[in-house]
Amino acid sequence: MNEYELMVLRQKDLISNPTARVPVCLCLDISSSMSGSAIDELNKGVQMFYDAIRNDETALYAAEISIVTFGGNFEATCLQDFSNIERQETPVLSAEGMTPLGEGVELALDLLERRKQEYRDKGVDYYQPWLVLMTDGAPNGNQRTLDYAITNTVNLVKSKKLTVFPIGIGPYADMEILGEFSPDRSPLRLQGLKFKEFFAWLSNSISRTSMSTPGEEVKLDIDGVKGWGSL
Amino acid sequence: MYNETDILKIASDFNISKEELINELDASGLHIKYGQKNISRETGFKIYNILMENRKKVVNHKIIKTDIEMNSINRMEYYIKNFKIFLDTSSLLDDEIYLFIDNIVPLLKTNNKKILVIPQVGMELEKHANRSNDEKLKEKSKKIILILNKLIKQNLIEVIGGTNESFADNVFLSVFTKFRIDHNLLLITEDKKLANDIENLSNITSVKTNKVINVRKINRYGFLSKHNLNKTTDIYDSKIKSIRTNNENKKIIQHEAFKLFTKVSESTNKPLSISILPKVGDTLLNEKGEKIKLINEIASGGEGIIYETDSKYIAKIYKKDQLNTRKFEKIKKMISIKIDNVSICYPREILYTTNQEFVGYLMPKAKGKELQKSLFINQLLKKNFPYWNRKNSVELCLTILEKIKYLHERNIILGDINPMNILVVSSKEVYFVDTDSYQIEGYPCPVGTINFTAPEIQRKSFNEFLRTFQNEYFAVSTLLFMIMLPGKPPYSQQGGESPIDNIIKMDFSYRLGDKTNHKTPIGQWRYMWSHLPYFVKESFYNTFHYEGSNSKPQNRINVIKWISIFKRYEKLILDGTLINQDEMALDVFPKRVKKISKFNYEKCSICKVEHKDSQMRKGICNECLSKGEHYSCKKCGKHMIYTNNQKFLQNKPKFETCFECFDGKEKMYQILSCTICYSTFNIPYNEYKKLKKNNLPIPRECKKCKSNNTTKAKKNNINKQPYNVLSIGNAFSNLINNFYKK
Repeated sequence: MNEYELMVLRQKDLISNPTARVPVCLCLDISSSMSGSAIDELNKGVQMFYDAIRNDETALYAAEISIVTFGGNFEATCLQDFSNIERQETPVLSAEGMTPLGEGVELALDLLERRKQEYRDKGVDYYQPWLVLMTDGAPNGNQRTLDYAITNTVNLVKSKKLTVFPIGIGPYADMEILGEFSPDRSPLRLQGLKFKEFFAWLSNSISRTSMSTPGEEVKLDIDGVKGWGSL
Repeated sequence: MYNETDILKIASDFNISKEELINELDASGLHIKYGQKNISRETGFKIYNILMENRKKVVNHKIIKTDIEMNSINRMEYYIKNFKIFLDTSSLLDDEIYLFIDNIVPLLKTNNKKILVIPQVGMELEKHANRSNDEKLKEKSKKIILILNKLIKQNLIEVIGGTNESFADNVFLSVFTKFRIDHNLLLITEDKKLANDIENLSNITSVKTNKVINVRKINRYGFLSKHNLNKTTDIYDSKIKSIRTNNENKKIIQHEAFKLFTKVSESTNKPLSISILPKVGDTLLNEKGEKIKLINEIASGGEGIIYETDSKYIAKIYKKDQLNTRKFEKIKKMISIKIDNVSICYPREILYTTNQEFVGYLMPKAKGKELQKSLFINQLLKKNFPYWNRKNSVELCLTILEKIKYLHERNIILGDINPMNILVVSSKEVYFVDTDSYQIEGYPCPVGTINFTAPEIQRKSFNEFLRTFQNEYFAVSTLLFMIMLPGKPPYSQQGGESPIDNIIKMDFSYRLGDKTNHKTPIGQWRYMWSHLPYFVKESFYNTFHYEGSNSKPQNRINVIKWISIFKRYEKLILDGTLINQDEMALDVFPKRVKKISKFNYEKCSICKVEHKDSQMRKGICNECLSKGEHYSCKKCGKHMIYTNNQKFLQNKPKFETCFECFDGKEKMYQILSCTICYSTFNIPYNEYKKLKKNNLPIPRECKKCKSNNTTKAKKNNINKQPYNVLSIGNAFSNLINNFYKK
C-alpha cells in the first residue's frame, strides 16, 4: 500500500463514518533518559490505550490517534498519522537521543491542523483536539522553536481550539516548562510509572467526550485524575 | 356564511387575487385545487379562519381588528341603534353565545340600549337547567341563566311580555306581527323554521309598513349573519352538525393531559438531605409503603444509578447532589398522570428510604441498544442489523413518531430528543429512556443536544425557559433525517463551521431539484438523499433550509404531518412502486444516485456500478477513467498515474518517465539572444515555470551582462526586442496553429 492509496483510504473513512471525531495527538519524549523501565512502561501504557479504545464501541469510531515522538538527533518524528484506529498497528517505542520538546510540539500542532482541515473539507463534525505532552526531563532543542511552540499552543488553548495535557514523568521533569504550555491547567506529574492508569483515564475521557455533542463543554472526570497524577 | 361559493368570491372579499388566496392557504396547510369551484361549508369556514388569522396584527400587545371584523361590529351597532332586538332560546344555547355577548355588551353600553328577552324563553331555559337528562344541556342552561341575570342587573337585558302563552315561537310570531308597523325588529335565533316564518312576515301585503323585519343567527365569531333559507342545505346543515359534534366528542380526551405552561415555575430549590445513599441489597418504600428491594446494579450515569428490583420495575436512585426539592416536586407531578405505554420508561412510583427520604423512582425496564450505537455508525449497523433495509428505517421512523405523538397529546415535551435516549430492539420495538428530563408543566428540560436544538433556542440556558412544540418539531425532523441518512446530522457540510453556526445559518446542503449550495457531503450521503421520494426530500428541505416554507418555528411540520408523510413513503415501498423505478430503492447504502426513467443505464466494467450512458465511454464510467495505477517516474521520482483512460481508450503504453524527463535532457523553453552582447542563452523549461509563477518577465540579457549591468543597455534603448533566433519560426508556427485550433 503506497502513500497515495493510504491517503485515499483515510479520506474514505471520513466519508463513510459520520461520527463526530475526537483527534488526539500523543507527543512523547523518547530521549535516552527514558530508556529502561520508563520506556517499557510507556509502551505497555500505549498498548493498553489502543486496546481500551478498540474495545469501546463509541470511542472506536470517534477517536483518531496520532503519535509524535521527539528524541534522537533533535528530531521530531510522526510515528503514526491520524486515521481510523482499525487501520493502525500499535507502535513500539525505543528510547535514545536528545529532548527537542519544541520541535515535537510544532509537529504535533501541524498534524492536528491538517487533520482538522480534512474534517472541514469533508463535512465531518469534530470535537476540540487533545494534545497529550509527556516528557521526563528538560527540553534541550532549539530555543526559538520551543518559544514558538509555546506561543502557538497557548494561543490555541485560549481561543478554545485545543486542550493540552502536559505530563511530567519522573523526578527530573521540568514542570515549569510544561506549565508554560498549559495556561489553564497545571501540569501533572505522573506517579511513578503509572502509565497504564493514565491511559485508562484518557480512553475513558475520550469515550465520554464522544458521547456528548461537538462544541459542548465536557466535564472531564477529575476524580479519575487523582488516581495517577499528583501535583 | 360561505357554502358552495366560488373561491373568487372569497378572494374578492379579502381584496386578493385567486392565486394569492391559494398561495396563502397553501402556506397555512390548507390545499385547494386551482380549478376548484365549489367549496364545502366546512372548508369555507376553515378558509375564512385562516385568512382572518393572517390579517390580525398584534401591535403593542393589542389586537387591532380587521376590516371584516369592523364591518361586523358596525352592523351590530346599526342593529342596536335602529332595531328592537329579541333573543331566542336556541341562540342563548348556541356555543358562540359567550363570544356574542362579549361583542355586543360594549356596544349596548355605549348606545344605552337593551336586548329584549321574553319570559317564555326564560321558562324554557329553566326547564332545561332543572329537568333535562342531557348533562351538557343542563350545564349550559344553568350557566347562561346566571349570565342573563347578571346582564339584567346591569340593565343590558330587559324581560318583556306576558306569561299567558307557553310557546316561545308563537309569542315571537305574534309580537313581530304586532310591532312590525312601528318598529324595526330583529330576531336572533338558530331555529331555521322559526326564521323562515318570521322572515315571511315581511311578505304580508295587506298591511304595509316602512319598518323592517330581520332574522339573524350567531356565527362562529360571535357576530350576526343571515340564515341560509335554501331547503336543500337543511339536510347539509344537519349532516355537518352531526359531523361536528362527533369530532367534538372525540376531542374529549379519554386520557388526562398535563397543563401547558409558558413560564418556568419559580420555586426555591433546597437540597434534600439523605442519611445513607441506598445500594444493592437495601430495601426501599414506595408511596403506599410497599417494600422494594434493590437486587443489582444495571448501569450508572451522571445523575444516578439504575438498579434491578424485586418488582417488575427497575429503580433509578439519584446521586446525593441531585436530590433537591424541585426534583422531588417534578417527579411527583410526573407521577400524577398515568402513562400506560410500557416502552416509555416513565416514572411510575416514587421511592423513599425507610426514613421517608426521597431517593428516586421506579420505571419499566428498557431493552435494546442506543440509536447512536446501533444505527448511526455504519459498521455497527451492518453488524447488529445485517438485514436492515430502508423499509425498516421508515418503520422505525413511524414507531418513534407514534410514541412522540402519545407524549405530545398529554402535553409532555421531551426536550432532549437525541440518539442516546432512544433504544432500538427492532424497527417496531423502541424504548425511550432518561424520561425524568422531560418538560412537564412549569418544569423545564434542563439538558439539550446541540445538533437537535432549534436555531431559535441555540446558545440559551435550558434551565431558564420552557420549550415550545415548535422547538420540538425541529428536533423531531432532525431525528428523522438522521435515521434515513444513518448518523449524518442535517447541517454537516463541506467547509462548514462549528455545528452551532451551521444550524443558525440554516444553510442546508442537500439538493432539491436544481436548488443546491454545492456543499453536499461527498459520497454515500448524496446517494442516500437522492433515493428518498421527492415529497420526503421536499419536507426535509423546507424544514432545514432558510428559504424553505417550513423553516420558521410557526410553520414547522408537526408530528402528525410527519406521520402522514412517512406512511405515504411506507405505502410506496410496500406496493412495489419504488422498487420498480429503481432496484436500489431499498438499500440503506446505495452506490449511486436514483435512476431517472428517461435515461439509459449501463454497468461499468471496472467498478460494476450502473451509470448513465452519457457518463460512460466504451463501457467504463468517467470516474473510473480518471483513476488508474499510481507509480513514480524512473528518473525524478515524481508521482504519476497510468489512467484507465490511457490504458483502455487511448491504448497508450505505460510511460516510465514523466513529461519533463522524457527527452533525456532538460527541455528548453526558449533560446534567446542577449540584447547587449548578442550571445545566445537558454531558458530551460523549469526556469520559465519559476518566472511565470512569480510573474517575472523573461530576461533579455544573458547572465554575464545582467551582473555587469552595463550602461550600453540604456544607450541602446532603440531595439528592446531581443533578436530571437527562433522567434520568427515560432511566430509562423503559432500563426498556423491558431488557424487550426478549434
